[in-house]
Amino acid sequence: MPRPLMGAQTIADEPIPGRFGGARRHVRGDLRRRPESICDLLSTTLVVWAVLLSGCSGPAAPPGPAERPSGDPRADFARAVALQREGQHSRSVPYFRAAAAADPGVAQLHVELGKALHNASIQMDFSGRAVRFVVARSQDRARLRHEALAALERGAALAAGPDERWPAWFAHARVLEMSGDVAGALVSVERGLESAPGERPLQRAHARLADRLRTGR
Amino acid sequence: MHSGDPHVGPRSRALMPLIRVPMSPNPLRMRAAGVPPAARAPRSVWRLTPRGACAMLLACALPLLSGCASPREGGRTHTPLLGPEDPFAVKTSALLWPGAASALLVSDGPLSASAGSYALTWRASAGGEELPAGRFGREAERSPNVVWRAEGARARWRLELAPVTVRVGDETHLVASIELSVEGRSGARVPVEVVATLGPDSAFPVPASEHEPAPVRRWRRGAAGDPIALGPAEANLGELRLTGATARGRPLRWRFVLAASPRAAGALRKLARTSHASHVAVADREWVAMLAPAARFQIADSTLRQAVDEALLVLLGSSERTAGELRAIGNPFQYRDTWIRDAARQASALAQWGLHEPAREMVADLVRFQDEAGGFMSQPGQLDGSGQAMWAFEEVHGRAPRSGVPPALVEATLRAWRWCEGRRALVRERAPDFAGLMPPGDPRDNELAVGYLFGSDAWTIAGYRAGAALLARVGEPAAADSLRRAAADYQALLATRLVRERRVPASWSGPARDWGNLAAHFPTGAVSARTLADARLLPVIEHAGPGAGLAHYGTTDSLHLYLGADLAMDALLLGQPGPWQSTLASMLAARTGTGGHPELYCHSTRAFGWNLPPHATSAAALLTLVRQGLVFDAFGDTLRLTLGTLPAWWDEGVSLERAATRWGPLDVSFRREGERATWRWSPVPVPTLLRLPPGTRRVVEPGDGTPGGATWIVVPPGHDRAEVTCRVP
Repeated sequence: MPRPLMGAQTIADEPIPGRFGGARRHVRGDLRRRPESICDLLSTTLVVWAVLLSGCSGPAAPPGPAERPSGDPRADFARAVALQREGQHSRSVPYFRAAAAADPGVAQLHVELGKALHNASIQMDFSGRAVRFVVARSQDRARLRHEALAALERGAALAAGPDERWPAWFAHARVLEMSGDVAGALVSVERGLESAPGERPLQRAHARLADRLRTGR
Repeated sequence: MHSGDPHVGPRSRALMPLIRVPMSPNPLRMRAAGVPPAARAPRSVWRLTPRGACAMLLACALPLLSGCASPREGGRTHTPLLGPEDPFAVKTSALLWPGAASALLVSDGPLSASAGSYALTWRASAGGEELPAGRFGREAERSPNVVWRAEGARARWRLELAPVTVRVGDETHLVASIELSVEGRSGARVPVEVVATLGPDSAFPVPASEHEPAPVRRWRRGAAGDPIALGPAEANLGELRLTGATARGRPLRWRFVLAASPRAAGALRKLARTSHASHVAVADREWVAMLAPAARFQIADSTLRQAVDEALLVLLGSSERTAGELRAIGNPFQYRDTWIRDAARQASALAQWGLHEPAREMVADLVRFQDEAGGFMSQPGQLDGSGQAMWAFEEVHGRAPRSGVPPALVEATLRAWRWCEGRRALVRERAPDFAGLMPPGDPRDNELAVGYLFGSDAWTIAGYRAGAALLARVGEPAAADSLRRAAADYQALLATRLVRERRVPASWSGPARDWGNLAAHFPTGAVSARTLADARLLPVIEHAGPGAGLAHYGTTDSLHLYLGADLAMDALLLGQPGPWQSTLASMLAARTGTGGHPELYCHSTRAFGWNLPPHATSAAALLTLVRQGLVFDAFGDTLRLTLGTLPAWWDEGVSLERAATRWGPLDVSFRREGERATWRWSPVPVPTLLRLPPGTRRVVEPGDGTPGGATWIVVPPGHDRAEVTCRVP
């Protein structure tokens, strides 16, 4: 049948309150030396997502040959965030990837990479005649989704504590839920709840997913 | 397809010098209409900004004036066109080539060849008579070249497009070699004017390479150095005006070369050096070579024979090869992307018709959709993907001759099975009302509902059954047994649930459109034939029409070309040939002139919107309908021959050679002479069920102990022929 295209909805549609729900902050600090500054950056990106990523993004040209990570993790992360603000998720991925590779032990960098990969897999634009996926081939979108899940699992594994771990599982659940895997999403939420049983976003997600599974709706 | 120096045969050489003839002595006159001085500069290129409104164009048309030429000697131009009358409101044809990442949509009214974002359009008149409406078809069997012909009172028109491929990086793209010709119908000279326009276009929603930067578009210069036309599309500056005169026996002929993707534009000049006739001949030759391994269908009904060939072209043409790997795409124009549910059917049909290599590549590509946990999903919320992938692996490798099953597919099957079992266990634990089913899906198409979809269960069972067969084939009896038992338990679960239902539901949890439930028996085997008989599904296709034998989708005015095809096979398995015959007839009647089925169309308006033909799954459905009607091996247990036939086939005799089955390549032929029906076939190690000619009943001779019924018999394994006396009651 005619294939209706899904609307662009990102995993930041449900912003995480608490430490990630603060007001917008400027990017500052040394990414390598000050993990707190990474959190600042991350919270900034989440807020920006919530504002910007509600649907259509601008036309996203594929990255040009000259556009590539600088090798400076802080600059790359900043560039990734800037691209996110423009709705250019697909283009932001190499920068998030570079930042995560430079600091492989920082859990939240993997989490952000996972989110970016997922958002790139569902990013759409309007070509003048139809709304289309920016990543045209479903095989490539599937690969991004798979990489996103792997990055989020890596983030959860690297997390220093519950406050880092549960957002990773929360994002993992969102990726699965948006992929249509309700049962898998429920399991991910439960893993998050194991770390942070009191987190309201997780509790709400659990209730919603459990209800979807129970009723099929 | 060729990309180098093609062979130039005697016929094509006649045309070659004409391309090189200087324009001035040529009887045709050309003028660049309204071309600004700056644009007339030699080799000038007009660059458009990428965001320039609709100006997403490129210079990829290269018209070459070939001048007058006599009709090709021994040519096909006066033979009747092969192919059906196009019943649709918009007459189209698709120029395809296997593995090409682009295609051209050819339309009548106005006559045009579109790459999706730009098109070459022809307006023309002969003796003041506008270009008449024409029809598309082929001039020879097993030809991929598209021909359009139109007959006016003053002249006959003909457009021919030959597919040529160009390697661009790791992709293959399509270029069309195009010849437009006109011939007067009387001895009197008729003035002719043709205006060819290269302009923006949006004839289909998914052109290839839409994001290519810097589109450039121009008419190039003729081979003799005279400017033909040069300029951008705005204000009709992309026009090429051609004039001349024709009379009977003195046709005019023009040559164009058009790329289906901006990426291929660089190859046009080189390709234009080869004559159109040569491109036509090479395309014919290479396509025939590609079909060489396919099953050979010999039947007097040329319509059906042609339909089968066209469907194979659609299946192979709906693919893209990138970096040496082939992926199935469901439709070259509407979405040009892979859905597991389409690709699985596509690969299965190719395997059934003996085209193992592309089928093998297509299923190998599906592994890309498997995630770390083991599930297959090409589109969000489509939980039938895992079962369909497993099913497709076995459909292809179960029929492949001397084929080793790639270990990656064996591993993928086991992982997918474990993933499905894990998800079912979660449902069992968390959703008691749906215990044992696959989790709810949200396919966003087809059923158009969120819920516990029967199709997810049916295809998962199909995957388990197929996986068991595949594992047994590679010598993994324990794993095979596990999957077999899981399938049996799952089937039993469904059977229990179905007792409570009035009908096999599309969704267990609420309203949904019929979709996966229509595959409940064939091909998934999720429910038994007995359950099927009570399932109240056949009425979906048992209607008086229009489109008898086709399922409706959404409304009774929307006829779906493949949705009901599985039910037609179900009817055959229940001994009811009528629905199958209706489905076949309606499918054959709903094709473009070059054999492309849409996915669905509106009966009252004959429109298919932007869901343009050809659709690969519709083609796969036709091929499966015919192949499994003649040689049924889908369930891998009993060979069933001639389940689906037409009476006329028996009178003329039909044969199918090299049909790929689960017991190896099989030849079968059958015929009826008087009251004797005879079959010949390659012996197989399983029983063979033979269905008698439709409308006849078996006359049991004294002493004939052959088991069977009034319309069928069963012969033991190893037999290779049978004769039965039958008559119309």
